[in-house]
Amino acid sequence: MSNTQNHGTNADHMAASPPLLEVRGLSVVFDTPEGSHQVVDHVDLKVSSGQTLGLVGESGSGKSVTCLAMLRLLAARGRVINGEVLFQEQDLLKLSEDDMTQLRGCKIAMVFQDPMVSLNPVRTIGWQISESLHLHQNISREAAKRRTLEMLDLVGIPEPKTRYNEYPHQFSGGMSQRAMIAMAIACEPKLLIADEPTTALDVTIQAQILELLSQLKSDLDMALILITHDLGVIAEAADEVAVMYAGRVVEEAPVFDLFDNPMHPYTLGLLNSLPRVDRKVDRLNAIEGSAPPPHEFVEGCRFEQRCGHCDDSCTGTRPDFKNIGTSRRVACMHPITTS
Amino acid sequence: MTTKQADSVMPSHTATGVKRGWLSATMHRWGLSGEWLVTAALIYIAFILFIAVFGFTFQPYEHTKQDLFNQLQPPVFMDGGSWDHIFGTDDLGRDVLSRLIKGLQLSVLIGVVGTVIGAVLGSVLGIVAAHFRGWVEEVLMMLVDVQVSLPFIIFALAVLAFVGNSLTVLIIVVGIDGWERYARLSRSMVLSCNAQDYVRAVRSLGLSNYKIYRRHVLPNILGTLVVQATINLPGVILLESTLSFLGLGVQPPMTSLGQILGVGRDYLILAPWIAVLPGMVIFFLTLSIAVVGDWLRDRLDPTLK
Amino acid sequence: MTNTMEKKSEIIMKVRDVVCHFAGPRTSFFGERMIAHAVNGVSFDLYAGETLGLVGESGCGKSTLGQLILNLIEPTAGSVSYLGQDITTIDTKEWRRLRSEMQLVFQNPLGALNPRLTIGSQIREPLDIHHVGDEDKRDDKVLEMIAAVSLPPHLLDRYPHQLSGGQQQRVVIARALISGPKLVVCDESVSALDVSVQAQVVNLLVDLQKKLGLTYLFITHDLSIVRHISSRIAVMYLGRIVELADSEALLENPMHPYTKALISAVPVPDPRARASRTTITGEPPNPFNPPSGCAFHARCPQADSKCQSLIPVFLQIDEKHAVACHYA
Repeated sequence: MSNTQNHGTNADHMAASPPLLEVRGLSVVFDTPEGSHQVVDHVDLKVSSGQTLGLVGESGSGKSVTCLAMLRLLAARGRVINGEVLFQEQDLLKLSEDDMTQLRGCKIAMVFQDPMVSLNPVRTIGWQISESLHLHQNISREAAKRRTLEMLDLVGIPEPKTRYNEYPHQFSGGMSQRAMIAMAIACEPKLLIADEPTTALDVTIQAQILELLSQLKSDLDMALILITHDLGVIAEAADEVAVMYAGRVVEEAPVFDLFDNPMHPYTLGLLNSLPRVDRKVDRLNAIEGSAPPPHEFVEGCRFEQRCGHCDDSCTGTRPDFKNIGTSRRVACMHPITTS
Repeated sequence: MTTKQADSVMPSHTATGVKRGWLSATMHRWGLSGEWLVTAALIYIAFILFIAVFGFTFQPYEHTKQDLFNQLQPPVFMDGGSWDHIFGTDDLGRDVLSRLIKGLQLSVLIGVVGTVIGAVLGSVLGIVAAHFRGWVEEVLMMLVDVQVSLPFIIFALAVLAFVGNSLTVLIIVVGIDGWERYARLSRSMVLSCNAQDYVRAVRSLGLSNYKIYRRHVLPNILGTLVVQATINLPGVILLESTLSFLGLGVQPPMTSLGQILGVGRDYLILAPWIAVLPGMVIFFLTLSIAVVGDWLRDRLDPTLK
Repeated sequence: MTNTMEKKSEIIMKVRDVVCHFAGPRTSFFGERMIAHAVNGVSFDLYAGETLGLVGESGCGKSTLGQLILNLIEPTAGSVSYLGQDITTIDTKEWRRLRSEMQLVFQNPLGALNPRLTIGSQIREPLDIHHVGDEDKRDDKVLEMIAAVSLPPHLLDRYPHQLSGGQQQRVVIARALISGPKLVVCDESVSALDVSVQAQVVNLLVDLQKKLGLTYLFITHDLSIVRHISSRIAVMYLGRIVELADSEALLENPMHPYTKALISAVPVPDPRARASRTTITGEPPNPFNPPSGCAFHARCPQADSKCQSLIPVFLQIDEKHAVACHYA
């Protein structure tokens, strides 16, 4: 119940203040021996404090690459060729490497899919968190340890004093993810980017982690970018949603509008193809075909070949964003208007 | 945008391909574009193999023929050299070129056969260990540890001194060196291969163990084993050279590169060509094989094609 | 497809009190090996032509149970009989023959295909193994099968990594079905696929079942898919089935508190459903060190002292519904 109310205030809040993070026209190219592929194509995003932006898309849609590019964490063969990433009105892509490193651990933090590989197996959980605090925040080791214990408690790890001295293999998947979140929020970041934070976890644990993230978001007044392939998770946790397909954002809307009235045929297709635990359907409405790999990306609408609403105008030119009201937009020549 | 870029790159690529010379074209066909080092190494190996097999047809002298009037004659490109002995002569006046050709023959034979012995022995034992697990694995891996902790040169010297020296014994001894590397490698690869879903899948399809190994496991580990063999081959050749250099390897009148090297040791200052020439042949051969091995490893992975 | 029809149909697989232990690491350097009770006394019947969904979280033993049913691993105790024959005691020859009758479809399709063999030769493999038909007729059968899974025939000469994830899974399904099995165990077979492709593969599995009269044991952690594809659902928790019922009965009227929690935890693609969420605390217990009594008692909102000491019996509540809970 309280969630829904929070949600309303967030939306109001968002309209008033400038966004904490604004991405404009971000494009990323990957160089491969077969040529360069533009895996992220002019992506615009924004997120405000206290708000959760859900970034949803299938594998290869460019959602993770977008976030890595924002933090300048792309692997060597990926490079940003266009765009700006304004964080508190400062372009991250123009910062020096030192400033960026400072910012990354502190004001912007990240949580990854697999907590087990993100933790160093030969160091205790407590050491890993307090060491990063000690380094980033210039506080003494004792203070760092105190803060770490607070954090472990905050993310709901029972008996933090004992767990502090345990190693990652002694933590279950859910507990490791809590520890990763503790590490990420220890510096009280303004922005938390969570890349498939619950994909490796069981559903009952997933529900706990999602609840924790949304709790922390409002307690610490953070902005949260939640990357996921799961529309259920989006419906559960996001305020704003950006749907990505084949390197582009195809639809952006507040979460209620998106699920009530999806306007891009891809969003609609995705929703229709989901089996649901709360109702029985005779047959799933699958979208035929599969998403194109980056070397088959075209300039025109990339969903055209799987789309039931397309005509000649969809080929060749990139569909521009159409603003629908004040809060949502869709990149489609023939957006679906009836609900 | 992307596709346009790719398009503009691709045609120019093929356009240059048309104007290629025969060498460049051949390299392209063999997947060697831009791999000049590998090409050079392959050409060198082919040359060495050719000499080893057909060298006897243009060997200028019998490798044992002594010419006591022309001892320690320098090669043709040094002062005092003559075209009679292109690479000079050794302390007994034997033609160095002829001895090189003859020595190469034996060194390559020992290297290749020795490597095959080690590879087959080690791989089979590794597969057996991985298949049966339990005490079989423990015993075999214990043997591997024994082999690793044994100073092999001393072991080889002991065997050669004890059993007596013949070419067969020598080949077997140098072959045994390195089996433990294949055993460890093939064991760990078979273990990980057996845990793969595709092996579990064909097992659940009812395929017999023999066929699982022949059709699914071996092809997937063979590439790595071949690469391991190319890494080991220079070692085998060097081991033979070392043993011959120490006087327990190839015995006169037979000769190998290592044996020539051993003889040349005494004349390093006076007649460096005796040792330097076989030394260079061995050095470039081992280097080339290592380079080709690295290249093969990438080529043999179908997912990288 | 109604339940009454299924009850009448023959029992293809009868599982009785199956137990499977795994030896784990030693407790200390000289200590005993720890024993994991991966499957701990499971009994159920599988009817010909039905789809039984087997749901549970990671480590609950659902995959182990799948392999036990296919007789790919041997149970520590209990019996598994296929069409009246106990398959835990059969000889190698019989076992091999049985391989063409029951099949497994894996989670990760790329891993389940040999990277060095063409698609065609891999689909053909079961025919070669079991010497089905004439050598030259087998390729026709492969073509027939690849059409049945809606793949274009030119893919037969390709290698697995050249196909998309959905295509790979279709290949795995084609290989599993070409020998004409009666029973197919799908172990998280669609979990690794993208949503839009997942729906295609689920539809394909349903179509093939109707066409070929297959029986599925559908193992997954995803209740949404299970609801869609299964006629009955079994919920596993720490090596035991805690609830088994017709799909609709189980999802609309769950009796075991764990089933309730599981259903409630599944995210629904509807933001308005958020308010109705009840999350359970805690995590699944360690199978090396199972709790006393009901394995779920530490996380259960209803648990009392009885639950802590006494293992609940798996009881048939009515014709369609069986549950193992003291308070169901």
